[in-house]
Amino acid sequence: MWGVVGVAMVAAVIVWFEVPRQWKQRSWRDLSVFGVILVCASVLLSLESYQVKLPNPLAGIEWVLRSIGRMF
Amino acid sequence: MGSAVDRPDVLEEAEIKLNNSDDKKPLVSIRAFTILTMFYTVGTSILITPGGLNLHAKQDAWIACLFGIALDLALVWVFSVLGERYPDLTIIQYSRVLLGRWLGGAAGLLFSAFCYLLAALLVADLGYFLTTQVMSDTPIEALAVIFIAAVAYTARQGMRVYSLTAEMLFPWVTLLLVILLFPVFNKFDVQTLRPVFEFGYIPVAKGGASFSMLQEVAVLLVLYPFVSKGKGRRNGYLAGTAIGGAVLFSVTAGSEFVLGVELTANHVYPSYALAKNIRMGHMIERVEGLLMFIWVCSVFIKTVVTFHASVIGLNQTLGIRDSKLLIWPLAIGLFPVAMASYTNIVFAVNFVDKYWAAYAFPFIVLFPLLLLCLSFIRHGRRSVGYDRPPGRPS
Amino acid sequence: MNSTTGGPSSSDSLSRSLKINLDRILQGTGNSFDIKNRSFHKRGANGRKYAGAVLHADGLADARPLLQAIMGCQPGDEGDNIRGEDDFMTYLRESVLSDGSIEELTSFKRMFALLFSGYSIVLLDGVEKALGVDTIRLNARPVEEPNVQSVVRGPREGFTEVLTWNTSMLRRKIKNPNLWIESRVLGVQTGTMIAIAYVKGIVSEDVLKEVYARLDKIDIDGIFESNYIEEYIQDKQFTTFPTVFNTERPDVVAAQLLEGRVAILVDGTPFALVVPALFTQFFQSPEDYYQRSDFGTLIRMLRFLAFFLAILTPSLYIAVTTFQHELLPTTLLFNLASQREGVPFPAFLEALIMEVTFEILREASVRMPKTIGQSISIVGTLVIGQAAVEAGLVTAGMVIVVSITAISNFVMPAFNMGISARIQRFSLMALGASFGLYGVFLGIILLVVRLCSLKSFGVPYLSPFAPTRYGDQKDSLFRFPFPWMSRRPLSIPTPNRIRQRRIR
Repeated sequence: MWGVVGVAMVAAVIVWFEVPRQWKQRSWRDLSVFGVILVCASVLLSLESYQVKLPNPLAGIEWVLRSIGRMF
Repeated sequence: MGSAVDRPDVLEEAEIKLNNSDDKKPLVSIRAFTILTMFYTVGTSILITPGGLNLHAKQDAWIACLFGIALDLALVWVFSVLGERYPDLTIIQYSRVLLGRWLGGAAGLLFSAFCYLLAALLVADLGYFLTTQVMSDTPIEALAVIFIAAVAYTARQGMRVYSLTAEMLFPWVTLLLVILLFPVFNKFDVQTLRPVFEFGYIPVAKGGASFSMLQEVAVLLVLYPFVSKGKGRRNGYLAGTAIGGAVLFSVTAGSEFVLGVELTANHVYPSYALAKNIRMGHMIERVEGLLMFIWVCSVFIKTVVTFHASVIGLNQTLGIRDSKLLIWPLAIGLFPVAMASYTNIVFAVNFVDKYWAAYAFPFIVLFPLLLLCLSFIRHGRRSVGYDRPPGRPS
Repeated sequence: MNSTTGGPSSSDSLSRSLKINLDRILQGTGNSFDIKNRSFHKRGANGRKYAGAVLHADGLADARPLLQAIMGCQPGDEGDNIRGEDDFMTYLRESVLSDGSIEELTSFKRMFALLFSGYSIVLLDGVEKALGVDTIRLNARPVEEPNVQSVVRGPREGFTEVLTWNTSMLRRKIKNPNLWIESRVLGVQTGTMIAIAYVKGIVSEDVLKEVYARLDKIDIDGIFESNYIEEYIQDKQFTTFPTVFNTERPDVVAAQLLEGRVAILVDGTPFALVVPALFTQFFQSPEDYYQRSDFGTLIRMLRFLAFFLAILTPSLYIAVTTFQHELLPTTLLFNLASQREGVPFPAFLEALIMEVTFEILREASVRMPKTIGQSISIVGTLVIGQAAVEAGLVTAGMVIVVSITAISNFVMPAFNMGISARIQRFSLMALGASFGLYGVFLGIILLVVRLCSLKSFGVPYLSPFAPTRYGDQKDSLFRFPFPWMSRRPLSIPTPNRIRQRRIR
């Protein structure tokens, strides 16, 4: 519970600092990318705080490289 | 120093000119860029490479290191040719020019993702170093969080600021490096190096090649257009890599002399073990805590540069106007990626040792080389000066 | 404007009627007892009578010579040259009044400004102008040695609260027509005059333009000290490191003007501002230049060392005793460990308690009367520290650490830099307590980042360290002899780079 609360607070602080400037400039595109990334990162962060085992990108890379190695 | 004092510094005057909308002023001076490159090259390599080199090349680790540095310098030379062909564009931007909007954009995005993952791995690297060697009671998450916060803050301040920081930290780190290498002078014994090429050339070549992949010099191509233009830029790129390489070489060779080949090969962080060996009289003992400053600095700067490169890459691929906007969200994302990637130190060491070179090769060697060939085909021998200031990342 | 229709006009201009003007002034000041009003009558050549009044502010002006001159004048001698009130006023202005500066006034606003500056106002019935005559005689603190920035060898005069005395001191230092001093009036309610001084030809026009731009943006009620202005013109608000330099000494200001900087003097305070200000400036004292150059160099290095001590000592102590014990020599480690045995608090809390106590003591000693202050400071530091140790509240090591920190703070010649050090110390202590030396190192790096991001009027704050300019090292970390310093600092923009011929 506290993990998500903490993440939400961090995200809120970031929004508080960054968004007003973009809003004034009406840069919707920037804001939407910002929103998407913020949401993804927050989700990942919350999952991490619950010790949920996230997929390991390095393991994926290892698998890809091994498959390629096998092909030769 | 004599000539610098005597001649009128016309070039410096132009740099100092007060200009509040500094769209025309280069963000990074050549001297700062050189120092930045030096820190970047040293990066985490100072921690992780001597062990691997000694493991594979045994007592020829120093030759392998030199070979790797030579490879790095060759790559830098080639990359600087590429960089000078598009003096105002980052690698992301000219990949779009050369490969077309969609393919180039995708390539740029992949490159940014590479940088992002690399930044996360650097964070995790430092975290594991600290938790295994220095502060075993502190959870790695806490160390990673404050590190990421510091990196994000610094990246947000912009290129001008962190290159100045590197310039400022340089003398101190140099001093500490001299202290670090102090015991080497006592233990310098050429016998340890023999027999040379005992196992042939292959291990040396392999060691050198995988060593050179760990400096990831191509990432600096993202920062390249923001440095003062002119001959000095390219020389700075080369010089910084060379100096960084010299540092790495000294540490590798030094740990061979002081610790011996087997011990170095077995240590995950031989340079830290080297630091533990410093003994000057009875006073200066066990100063490895102080020398930690070297590694914290070099990893910090490398992480800032890499992270900022990935942010710039993303900004340029997606056409984001405000360059600082995405820094904090992406920084938050670094943490889970870092924690997820290095599940434990054994996995980390294994990955770096076996898979990193193969994984990084297409990104930091093939991709720029491909762009260079395409550039020669498309634009011929002349350089394409776009002559507009690059979209400012900061 | 139209005096014959009676009733005071609400516009700003004087009216022809003396009575209306006088009423307006006296009621406007609420009949303040210190606005003195002396009326006079003079008989002219053809029997014409001229009525007038002289107003001055008691204590600010000495109107006696003026009144004597007016009372003693004989307009009858001029005969037909004086044909009306206007002529009479001209006669007064050009032939009678012997004071230096006379201004013709048509607006009440200007009149009040002059009246409260010490001018005397001469009003004449029938003329819609008034004369403002310079009769300033101020009672202010005489020129004394500045007690905050005193030197062993060197001039002992410091600025005072009177602007004109200060500008005169500057003029005495730089006897050069190129020393241009312009004035502005700031402060809606206070009408404080400030002076902007620079050496034309040495100062950079861009910096000057920026200074004026920032000053013109100031809209404030009242200005009592130069800090009010400083907070408006500085580059960033919450930096804890000052980007504007202040000093009480005219020789310091003059030397900085010769480097291409701009000085701002404020009436009512002896502290002048100098911009652009760089980090190294706050470690320079005029003493460095008045003693031998080797001494100056070593003392400067000592100051930088003191700065590091002031910021880092508590955090390093906490970090080392909590996390990295191995850094200490073994005997010291045993001593510290045995001291820590009886103390209930963790090192961080201990440090915090001691630091806060010392800050309280320091603040209290500023306000104490001189007689008590002496005894309290010695008693306070020794006894309280000793007692705290014996009570088992803190360790002796901590008392020493805090004392070193406190004393190092005062080595820095600029008080505002000392303040920054005091504040930064606490954040580094927190980092050291949580993450040991790693935390302190990260803190140091972040501090450097913060310093690098600062700019003072366009000049990077850490010049000449950060954009490294070798030429400037002669006067930042070191102090090279004067014959070697042939150029003005590269960090400050200036069109006139060469100071003097190089002699080796």
